[in-house]
Amino acid sequence: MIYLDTSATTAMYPEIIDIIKKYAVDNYYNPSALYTNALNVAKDIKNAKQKILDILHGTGNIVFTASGTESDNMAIFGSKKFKDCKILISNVEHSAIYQCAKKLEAQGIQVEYVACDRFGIVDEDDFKAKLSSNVALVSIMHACNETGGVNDIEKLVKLTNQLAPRAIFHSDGVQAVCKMPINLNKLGVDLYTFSAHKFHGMKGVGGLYIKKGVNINPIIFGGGQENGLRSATENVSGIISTAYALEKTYKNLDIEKNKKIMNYLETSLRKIVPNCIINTDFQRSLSNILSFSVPNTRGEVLLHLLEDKGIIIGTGSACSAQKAHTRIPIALGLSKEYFDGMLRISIDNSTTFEEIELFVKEFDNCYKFLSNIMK
Amino acid sequence: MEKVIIIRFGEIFLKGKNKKFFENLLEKNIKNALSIYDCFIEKSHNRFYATKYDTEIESNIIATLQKVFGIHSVSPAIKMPTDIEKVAGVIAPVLPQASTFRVTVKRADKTIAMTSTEIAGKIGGDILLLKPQMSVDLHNPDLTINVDIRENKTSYIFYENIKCYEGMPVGSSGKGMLLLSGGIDSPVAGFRMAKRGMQINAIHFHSYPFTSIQAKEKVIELGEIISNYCGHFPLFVVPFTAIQQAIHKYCREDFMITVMRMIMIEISEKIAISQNCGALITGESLGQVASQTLESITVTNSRVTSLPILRPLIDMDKTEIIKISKDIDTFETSILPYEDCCTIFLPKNPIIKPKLSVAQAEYNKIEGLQELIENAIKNVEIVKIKNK
Repeated sequence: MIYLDTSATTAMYPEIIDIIKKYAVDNYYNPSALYTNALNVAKDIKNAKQKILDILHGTGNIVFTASGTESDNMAIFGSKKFKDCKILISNVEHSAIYQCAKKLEAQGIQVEYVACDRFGIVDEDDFKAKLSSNVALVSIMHACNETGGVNDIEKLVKLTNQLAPRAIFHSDGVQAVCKMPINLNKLGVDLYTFSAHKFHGMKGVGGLYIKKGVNINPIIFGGGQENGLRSATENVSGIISTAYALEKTYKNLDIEKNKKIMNYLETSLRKIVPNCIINTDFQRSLSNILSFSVPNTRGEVLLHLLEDKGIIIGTGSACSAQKAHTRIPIALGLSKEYFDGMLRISIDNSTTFEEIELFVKEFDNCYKFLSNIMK
Repeated sequence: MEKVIIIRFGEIFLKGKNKKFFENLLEKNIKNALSIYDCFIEKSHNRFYATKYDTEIESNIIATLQKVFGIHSVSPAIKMPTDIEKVAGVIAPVLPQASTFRVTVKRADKTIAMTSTEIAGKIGGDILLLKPQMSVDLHNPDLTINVDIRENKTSYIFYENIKCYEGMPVGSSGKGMLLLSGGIDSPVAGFRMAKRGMQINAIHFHSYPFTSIQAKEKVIELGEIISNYCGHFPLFVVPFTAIQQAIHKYCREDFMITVMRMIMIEISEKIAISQNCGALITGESLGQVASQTLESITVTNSRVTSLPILRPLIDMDKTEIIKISKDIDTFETSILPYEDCCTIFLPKNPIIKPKLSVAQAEYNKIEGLQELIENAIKNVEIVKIKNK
């Protein structure tokens, strides 16, 4: 099987099973307890946190959660709001942000949606225009899960600091982490979300980076773990394996190889479907995602045809089972005939050139087959 | 003294020589439905009792019985050796909050000297002593306490009478093949025919990859929900992609749906006959969509050779159908957004009043259709549907 949907999830590194055994079976102690064995586990968690902070060049704290979605919820609901404030998000944010913003909107907080260009990258002029002194929170994704488009977060943070000094700046980095070098200090973000299963870690582990000096409120209450910010007994093996997976994936990251693969892919797709729209701008995107839209076709049909050939690709959340999901294609400015035909190829460090060649060959066959039926 | 559930059945179908047949079938269906619980079924004159169960699961047993067709009503009751002196003491502590009550006595045991009215008066008086805050109202009571004194020195006391669907025991009216799409109507049609005692088999047409895997899973889930009423059944999933493609290739666009339905009916009848079904069942409702006008129904009807097509929803409004689908719990699943027909195969303007001769001509245009139909039938996938 050729797996080209790594933006959805990745295979966990098999050696993480050893880490799970180590902390779930052998050293299973509750890190909050007072005996030495437990303290050792707490120390391992602390070291894992520091390792993640070092790799991502952050200064502050990491709160571990159960998912990227939970981290996003914590950022949106936990950051402080004030009277007559508003929040800014981009109109292509992942549902984990978008639905939280909708909830706040329903509670009476003003939400403004920043436009993006057709590659899913925030329109900086629109962003600037929407900034004002009453902005309490900005949440702009680092890299778009649909198109791979990378926002210039450093620039957006600077603009925010100038024009909305009271605002907390959050960025959802779920897609960006391990796909590009990240320097949280340089980006200047206050809050930053990541999710372990996107870089070969375990499912059910997420994290929220909180810059030193930034205060947010918890959304989960209980025993006061994570400095009171996220009560619940720590997912020890999840946390420790996340640090492991992060380090290993970054070591293996080969952006140049990815770029070569993606260039070949883009050229080939344009030949096969001359009127397709490429939603990824390679000058300003992750090196591992290519999103394209085929007119008058349901992406899902192509997905299944390829699946039968042993190739797995994604449709992106834009074309998920929920037919009503047209938010993303509209935000990207796609015309109606392209709404259903959005497809996403995402690769990781293990993807080979041969696999992509095979995909291109099979895609060509499937597309021809489908075009033939559609006359 | 023990808790039991009284299960009453309607008497209409019990008249005549077939009484035994209906009773046995109903008993079998009740036992099947309750097989997931640890309990017994005892048979008595014109009723059954569910006995020897853990009282914790009483409400689950009742909910299951409510879905068995042929049952008129059920009542959770206390069974005790007949002793008029003790009735009030047994029932008073378990009565729900109510300000007025009456006692109704049925006395089959004629060895007791008192009349039913006298017994009711006696028990009512005893209850008033134990529950002084309550009062008696013979005409419009909040609570009617029934005391059923049977001949075998056993009494049943109950105050609830829970109505069921009635209908006929499933299996008493033959077997029908239900055309099950993923929509709102067809599960309701299956439910309605099962209520009249029909055993259900179902058929679904699947056009993978043009329709999603979820669309098929949704149909299976709908099947599982209606099997709560009609019992286990096989679902025949017909691979329909090649036929869809052929229709798209050979037929006029506005007739695509018409011809598709002609072929679906034709395949359904063939499979139905092979399964000894005596009818086809569809969820058609007159005029609901282009394919359900009288003219369209005439065309699809022309494809059956021997079996009747039962259309239990033919005169119903969409709102009425939705009401039933909510009641039987299929609605939420039916409205899941997985399409059961790919947009590629949906004409922009389907014909509303197709002429039979034209439809026939379009049907005849498809080259190699009989071979495609045979292939589809040969490759049917049979999914065993069981209630959850």
